Amino acid sequence: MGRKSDESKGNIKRLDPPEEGRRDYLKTVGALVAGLAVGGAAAWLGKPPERVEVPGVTVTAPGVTVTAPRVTETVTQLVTPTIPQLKYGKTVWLLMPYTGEYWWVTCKEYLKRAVEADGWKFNFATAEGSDTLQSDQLISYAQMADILFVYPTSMEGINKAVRTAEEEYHCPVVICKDYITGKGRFCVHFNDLEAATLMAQEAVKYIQKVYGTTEGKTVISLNGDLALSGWLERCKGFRWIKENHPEINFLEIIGGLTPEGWADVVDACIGAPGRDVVALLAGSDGPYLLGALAALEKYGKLYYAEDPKHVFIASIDGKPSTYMWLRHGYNDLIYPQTPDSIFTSLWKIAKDWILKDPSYEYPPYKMPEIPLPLWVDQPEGTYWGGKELVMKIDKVPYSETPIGRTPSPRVDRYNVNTWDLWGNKITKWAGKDPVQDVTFVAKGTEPAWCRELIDEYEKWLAK
Amino acid sequence: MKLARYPLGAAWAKLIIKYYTWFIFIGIYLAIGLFIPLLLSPVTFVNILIQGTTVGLLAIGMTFVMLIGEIDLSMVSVAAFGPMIGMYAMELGFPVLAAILLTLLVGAGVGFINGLLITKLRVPSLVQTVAMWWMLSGIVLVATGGMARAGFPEAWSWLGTVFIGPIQVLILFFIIVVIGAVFFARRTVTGNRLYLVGGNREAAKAMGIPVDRIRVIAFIISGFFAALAGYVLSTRMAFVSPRFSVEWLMPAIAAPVISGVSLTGGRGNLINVVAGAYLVQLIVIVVRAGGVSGFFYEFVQGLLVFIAVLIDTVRRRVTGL
Repeated sequence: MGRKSDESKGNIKRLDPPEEGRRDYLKTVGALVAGLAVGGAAAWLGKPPERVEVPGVTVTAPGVTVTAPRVTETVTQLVTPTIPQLKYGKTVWLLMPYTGEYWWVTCKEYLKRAVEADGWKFNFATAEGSDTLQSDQLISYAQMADILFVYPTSMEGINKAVRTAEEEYHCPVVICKDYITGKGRFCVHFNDLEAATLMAQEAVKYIQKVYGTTEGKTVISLNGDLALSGWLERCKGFRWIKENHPEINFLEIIGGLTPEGWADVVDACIGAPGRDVVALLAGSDGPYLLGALAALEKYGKLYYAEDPKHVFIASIDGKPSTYMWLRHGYNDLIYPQTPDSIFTSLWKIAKDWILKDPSYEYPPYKMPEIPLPLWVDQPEGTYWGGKELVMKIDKVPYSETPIGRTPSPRVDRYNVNTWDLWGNKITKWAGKDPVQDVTFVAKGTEPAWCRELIDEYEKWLAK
Repeated sequence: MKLARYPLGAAWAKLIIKYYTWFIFIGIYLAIGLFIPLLLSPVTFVNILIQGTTVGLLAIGMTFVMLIGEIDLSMVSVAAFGPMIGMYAMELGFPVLAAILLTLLVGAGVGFINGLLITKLRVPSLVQTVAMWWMLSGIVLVATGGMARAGFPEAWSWLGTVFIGPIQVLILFFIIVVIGAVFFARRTVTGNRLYLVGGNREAAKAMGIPVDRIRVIAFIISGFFAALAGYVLSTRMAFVSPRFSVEWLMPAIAAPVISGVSLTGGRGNLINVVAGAYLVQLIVIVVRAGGVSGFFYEFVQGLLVFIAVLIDTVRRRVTGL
């Protein structure tokens, strides 16, 4: 048997390390020392500069309608009139928690449209549900963006990374749609708790009206990943039933982040413990609700609206598909979030109060604050229930970030064909929702208004 | 067996071939840096060093298991489970140092259970570690209520926040750990036996080596490194969550493979594994620095890892190593 050469990496070599082994170690240590020296030099060069505190600067923003007294700061030092250039060429990064479903893509699209309409560059990244990935993304992208918009993966997970992005890399961070407990510039989100509570109350009213009693009736609460504040608040809103009507058989199920996860859990629930369901409250709709409708159809429990055996279905989001299912008479009530107004107002506020003076990117790196309370009107071209409704951004006890909650419009068969609703309007410029044309085999008789609503919608869409 | 050839007959050629992963890492870094200057900034370089410690520690742990021809898919869930136990221990009044030691012990303990079930019950490592992954992820989910749990004291996070001069302590710590792991693998009897068992289990048994004990030790080591990676990550992030470090499973497998660690066991150079880990982290940073859109992110990352694996395959065919 031939001897193995010195260069062989066979196992026998490992048993009896020759002189070469010692040389290897010296080389290893030498390389590590060299690496340390290079790394140390790089760290020395790369350490963020010291922050220098200077007294505050008065910021004014023309054009914002305010109906309450504004907070002002005492001017002790004026900024020089020259407005510096934005370091990264007017670049926005949006960090999404997930992009695997219509809702998330829609949110991204609305911010993209608003940003690009003003001549800014828009980019986005997704963390696919991982806090650690989103935290690392915050650190990386804070070094490449003039401003970051973050739709957080959880309420607490990215607090430190947001702080690092702002304090060490001097990049303002705006929190989108779901809040964090830590400090960002500001946050705008849907009034999840209020909407979910109203849905729960309407479900109880429906049960009392149809069955004359709520005793022993089964209500299913279908929820998403509770690490995200939006879904957590909705879950808490649905729990109004459990807290106020203990006689109701309240089944709370968690579908997680993905529509397929929701479909699986609701199928399992309706198949067994929830087989007598009379009402279903869904924390999201569209593909997230599709699984519930499919499960009801599978177990023979999908009845048209107005049928005595109809299962009351209410949901949040207001996607085009869900409006279409409402027109078909499968579901009853929707509280649409308004991504059009949420993301448009996020951009407008950022532009008016943060980006107009990019001196935060230069020494002394003073991070701009928005004045509080800040009153915001329904943004142009969007709909959150009407121009008369305003949103207030202010401090809240559960977060260090100032938060505004958008109004919660209510949609049923009487106003589903309000064309300003984002779930209708978006089909004009983005095309149909991928599951919009999915229909189900429902039992009972289709109400006459279904066909009227569908025809009206299709005529409008064809224009 | 094909013998390695050194056409130039130079010691430096031998160095390049032996530590090729480092040269690939440096070469790719410099080459891409020409097109994306942000990559060459000191701040980005330091970020790569720091963010690469997590995948580095996971990759080292994975390598020990791969050396014996096995795999440990539970590492990322151990990385969440370990620091979570440490956090609850501190809430119960444990001193910080004891909580940290408990975190590492828990990781080693999970590895011990994995190893025991794999050797005694003959459960395939793929199956056993996937089951452990699910179980531990589920436990973390229940214990945290699905939310990120923050609130580590400063003493816990010192590794991820303290500097000695210009250098973050975390980088120094990682270097010390790497030296220790390399020493263990090359200079100890147990380390050598890992290679032997992975190279030819029957021959190792015939030589009187306690094969099952060595395999259990490999899993204890991977569990330990997983918990260490989780601890290190928690010092940077200041929280632990149900999806903690989940994105690092594939990089933890890719890094050793890129570095030439054989999936069938018996071959692997830990120094190259560190380079492989940094190469994978570099790919992640390149994708971000390059401004790649979110939808193309995973595709581009996977493509770059595929190219790196291809380069390694070609290298092995050409050199015979």
